[in-house]
Amino acid sequence: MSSSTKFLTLKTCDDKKFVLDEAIAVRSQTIKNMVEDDCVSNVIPLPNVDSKTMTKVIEYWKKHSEEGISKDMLMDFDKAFVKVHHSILHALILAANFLNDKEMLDMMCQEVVDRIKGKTPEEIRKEFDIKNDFTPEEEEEIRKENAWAFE
Amino acid sequence: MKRCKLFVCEEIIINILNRLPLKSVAKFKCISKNWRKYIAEIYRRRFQWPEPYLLGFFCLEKRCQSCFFYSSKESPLVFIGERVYIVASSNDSVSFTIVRYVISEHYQSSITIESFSSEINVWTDYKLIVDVPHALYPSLDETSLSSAGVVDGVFFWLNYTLITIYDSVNKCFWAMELPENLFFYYPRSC
Repeated sequence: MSSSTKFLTLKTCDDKKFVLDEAIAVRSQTIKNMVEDDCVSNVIPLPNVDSKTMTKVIEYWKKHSEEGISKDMLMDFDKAFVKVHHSILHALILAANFLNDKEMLDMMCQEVVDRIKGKTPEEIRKEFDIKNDFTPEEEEEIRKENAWAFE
Repeated sequence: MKRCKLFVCEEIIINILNRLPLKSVAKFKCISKNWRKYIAEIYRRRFQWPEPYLLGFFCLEKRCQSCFFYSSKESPLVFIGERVYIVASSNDSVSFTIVRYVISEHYQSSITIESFSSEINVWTDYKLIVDVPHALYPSLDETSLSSAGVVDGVFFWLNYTLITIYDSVNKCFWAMELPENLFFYYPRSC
């Protein structure tokens, strides 16, 4: 690595510190903006991200910044990367959203889509703990209007 | 960690729902009032111009000059020509036909009927020597009114007291008189 390599220190909400090459950290548009605006002192606090999630995010960033890595290898990596428990998946989405890494966010959102698209409304409510606030009549009405979707 | 945390951020939910096939989106409308609201937003986003799957034709008109464009799956906006007097267009879900006619400069008894098919992407003309019905001369006044329609490839349009009919399948046309004392006030058709 060249001598001009700069390192940034990121601090997660559970007070863990991560030292990272700036060139990698700026995959986050949020961090990039901070660096460009020169408002990076010593440590960048990430109040919305915990260390467990940040470890995964950095794993993703490092892999995607590797020199000479083939597209196929990246695809395999991504495929394995998203195969996590949904609580981790959701934490990663929130982190990618906060860090403003669109590529990562899109990939994670697509994974959620693949997981939910074949499910019934009941299964979705259960999975995401959503309260059904329709009256039975209202729900019946909406189901009738969209009967074709339930065939 | 609370399971529903993800669905607190509206922007993310819409990002996710927007990737779903329409059938799933419709099915998920009944999940909750919030979801119904998000899905209304998805519909609004999906059906607004410019969407790549819009198909249709557009016409810019100034005085008697018209410019025609069409859009399709393959090409967002294509200029197809400029001429006077579009009659009407027929349209099914995948293709459409536009008919226009051009009258020779000296108002002789020949008329060129041209039809544009979006399938072959060209204007095809048929020169017809006919006993031209008076109604084929639309008013050159830009404020004049005309009305036209199409049923199964048969185009018809109204000028003054006559309805002119052009059958684009059999390539023939004729005129039909209106009953006496009928006065039509139609908006411009194009």
